[in-house]
Amino acid sequence: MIAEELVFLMIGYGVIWVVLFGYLVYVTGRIHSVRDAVNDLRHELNADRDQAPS
Amino acid sequence: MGLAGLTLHGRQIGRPAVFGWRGLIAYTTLLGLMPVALYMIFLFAPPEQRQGEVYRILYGHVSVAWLAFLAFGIVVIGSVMHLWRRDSRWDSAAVAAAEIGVLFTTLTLATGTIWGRSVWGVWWTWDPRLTTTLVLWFIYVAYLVLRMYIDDVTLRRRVAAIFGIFGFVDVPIVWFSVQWWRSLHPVQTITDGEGLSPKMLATMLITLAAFTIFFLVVLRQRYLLERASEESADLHAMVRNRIDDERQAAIPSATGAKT
Repeated sequence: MIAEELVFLMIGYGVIWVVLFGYLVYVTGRIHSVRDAVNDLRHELNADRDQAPS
Repeated sequence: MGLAGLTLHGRQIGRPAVFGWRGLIAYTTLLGLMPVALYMIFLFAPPEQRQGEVYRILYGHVSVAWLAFLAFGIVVIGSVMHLWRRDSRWDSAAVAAAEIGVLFTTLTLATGTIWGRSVWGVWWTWDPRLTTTLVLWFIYVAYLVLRMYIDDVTLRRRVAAIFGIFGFVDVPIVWFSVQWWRSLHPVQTITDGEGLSPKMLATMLITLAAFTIFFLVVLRQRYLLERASEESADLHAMVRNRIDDERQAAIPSATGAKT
């Protein structure tokens, strides 16, 4: 009986931590990829600006 | 002209959001508090007389449920402030909190069903608390889906803000459901001031503190992601406008070359 309860307990906290840390890792990874895209766009815009005749 | 000179809507674009001393304190506290919370949940807190060991899941369950309510409260504040100030940062805070609120409500439902399977013998029952919580989950999933289907940015933000405010009506219904209707779900023992031994109360408070810090860390990260996504969308718009301008400028000169 106690073993069954402990299994439920482990599953419960396992779900919580996997989901929470998984989400944190996912969001942090997305921030980096979006920032890379933003930096690429900024370089593109500045390159166009530098090439444009004054 | 350097990259730093680019501005958009009065703010510098592409500015990296540095995780400063506040982030360092939050991560350090989290790393210190989590092991303490786990120790208290599994070893320090005494077993419950009727439920045995499985009741320990309620420390996590109650914490994520409260933080889901907090998240939806932030959605309301962000939505009201956005409608009032017309500042997109409040909308970003609202959408970040809504997504995290849905995540925490999902965990509340998941841990609740695991506890219910062990104590009640069933994974799910249409109990008032469970049903109203499921409705809350659907409301804020609908909030997130709604945002995907409105292309106009201004309209999307306003409609989402109104939806986010009205959606919060379900939160007090969830809270009082165990008092208003006959329910299998346990009543609030902490706010009622009875039913918890000092060791259990200390464990509950430490667990709640640890989860709250985690909540704040993940909320900040999600907010930064939203701001970065908005910045990316603004830059794409700038690129499109520039291309359109160049095309417009090229048409008369081409016509002039022919004549």
